[in-house]
Amino acid sequence: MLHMATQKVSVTLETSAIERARRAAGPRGLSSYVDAALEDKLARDERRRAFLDYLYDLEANDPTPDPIKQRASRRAAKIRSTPRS
Amino acid sequence: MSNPTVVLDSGVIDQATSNQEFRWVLRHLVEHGWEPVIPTVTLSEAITGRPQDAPVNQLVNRIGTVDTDQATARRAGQLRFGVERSGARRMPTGIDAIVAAHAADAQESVVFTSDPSDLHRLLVGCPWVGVEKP
Repeated sequence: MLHMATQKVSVTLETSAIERARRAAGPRGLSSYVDAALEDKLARDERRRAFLDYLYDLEANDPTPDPIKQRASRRAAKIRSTPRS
Repeated sequence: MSNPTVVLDSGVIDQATSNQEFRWVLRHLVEHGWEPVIPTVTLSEAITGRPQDAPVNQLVNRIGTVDTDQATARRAGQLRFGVERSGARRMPTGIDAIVAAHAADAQESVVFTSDPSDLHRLLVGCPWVGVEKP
């Protein structure tokens, strides 16, 4: 069985979040729960970063004309601002 | 609170590389905090094993795919059954349902697909999910 190196750190978190996390973690323990949440968040952020880097590389080799950029930005802004409940 | 999510269906993964306007739409969303998601199962439709797969492979090699856990698979089954219960003559595929479920898992999301009709039917009860063509 592979054991990851661990390190004790001191962080400041919202009390209510800690209480909810303790309840959700159950017998797994808070450290294990926070560790999994951090891994998940890191994976998401790294995927976002990698995707942007990929798009920037494509753009450097195949620049998009301004009218297309403007149309795309308007469209994306509309997607972002569409109320969804 | 999770970030909003951009889910790519099988038929549009290559367009994230080849379609300039779509690239800019994606870039705008991701720069504003949206998370790109390619459900792993979409590769079963997007990959042929031929050189033409290159645009899909390039993107997937850079950002990876997201596996479907049991909770999301169960949600896919519920969404698909919802379409069946509505009396639809044509049922969406299981892959469409899994793509829809990945989008429905987020608090806010948009699915890009080449065939919006099936995704619309699957997500009729999920107003927090938008369905768009590239």
